[in-house]
Amino acid sequence: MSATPIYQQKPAQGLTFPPFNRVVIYACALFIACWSVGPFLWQMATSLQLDKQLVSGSPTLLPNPLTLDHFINIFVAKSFHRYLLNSVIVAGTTTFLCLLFGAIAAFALARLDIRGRFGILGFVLAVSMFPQIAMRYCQKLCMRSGRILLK
Amino acid sequence: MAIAKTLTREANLRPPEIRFRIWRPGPVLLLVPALAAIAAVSIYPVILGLWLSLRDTTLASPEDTFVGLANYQRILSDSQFWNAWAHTMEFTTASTLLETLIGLVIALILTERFLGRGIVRAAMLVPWAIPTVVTSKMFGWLFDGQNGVVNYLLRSFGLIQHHVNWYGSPDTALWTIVIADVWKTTPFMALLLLAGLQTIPHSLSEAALIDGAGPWQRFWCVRLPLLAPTLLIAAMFRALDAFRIFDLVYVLTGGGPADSTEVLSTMTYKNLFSALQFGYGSALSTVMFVTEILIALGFGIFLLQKFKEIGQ
Repeated sequence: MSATPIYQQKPAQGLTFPPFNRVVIYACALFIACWSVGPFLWQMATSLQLDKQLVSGSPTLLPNPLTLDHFINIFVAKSFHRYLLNSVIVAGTTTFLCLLFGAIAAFALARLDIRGRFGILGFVLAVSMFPQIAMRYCQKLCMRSGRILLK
Repeated sequence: MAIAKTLTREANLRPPEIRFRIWRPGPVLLLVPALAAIAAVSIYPVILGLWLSLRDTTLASPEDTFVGLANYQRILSDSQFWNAWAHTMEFTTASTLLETLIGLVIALILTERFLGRGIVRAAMLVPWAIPTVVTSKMFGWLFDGQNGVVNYLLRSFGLIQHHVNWYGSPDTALWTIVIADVWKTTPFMALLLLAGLQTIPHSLSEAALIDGAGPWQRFWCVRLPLLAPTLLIAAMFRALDAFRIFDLVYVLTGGGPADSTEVLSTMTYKNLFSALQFGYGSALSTVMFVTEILIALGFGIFLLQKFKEIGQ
């Protein structure tokens, strides 16, 4: 390795670590994948196990016997699809409105001549810092006063 | 805000004729929908909150008078507030530091080219895609004192003798929440830093390599200084977000046991919605708001220095 001049060597691919550390990189990548997906997989496995197995004292990743009781329970008895639909409606509407208003405003700020545009941007950023939880009550008050106005 | 200032200076350097053009309503009209939406859902509530924080409004009694700064005085002498403040600071510092460090390591590994990199990158984003409330419940089950798998694993490896009551005991509850938050938000940091790493020209690392720099030197002297602005911005967003932590705490412990995980958001929420002390609760949220601005300013000054160093 050291005999060949450096300009004749094949370029290292990632350049942060030399190739002999490949093993370390693969080990780290495997760890990242397990760490990220592990808890989620565990939750999925939990959803497919019987209640008595979950509290048996020796947890297992592979459900045996496999049961769909919990899924049947939430969709048939608790009509979970209704909740899913609600989430889709809320997510869809807010995404649409945010994109619409945001794109219009962003175009105006980026492409057209508006005085004090960075003041406006900074202001918007500052407003988004206010603790959301603290605003809930005030937003509720606003909605109530809005309803009274509309009546 | 500090960035805004430098950018305004830049904007002032444009040719003067633009500034003396006749005012046309067009561009401003395009801002109206967005600003109206922000005004309705943010600015009006913020002002209402400020106004309420100066009154002693509660639903428990008919009192509703202007009391000036009495609520703020009460905050300063409230031991519960200082308790929550300490926990919030502890949580913010710990989670921001851990997430930035782990996120940096993950980003550095995932910029390398290796087989299956796309899959690992996608897998990394799984925690981020799960709703926080679900994460919270999930960690509640993983760290369960009786049947939790974490206890089971630690015991089978012989690391602990007895089951630890992770979020049920005041000593470990806050750290359990930090772990859950690190699991959930590190992918976000890693994603931001990964994007930052991509903007660093490859030729610089190559030049350093040809000059004989080792991997550590290439990291410390080439990549890290160039990544510093991204690192700071990412850490700022994370710190501001961590300071407002609510759902993870509220779902996992509800602030208990014995107020050992009570943070400012949960305390404000309880004052507003359970105790119905609107005046005091609003004063608490105003204090949070001011602290957030201070954190942002601190990072902003730091960032400005960094930008000057790099000469951008």
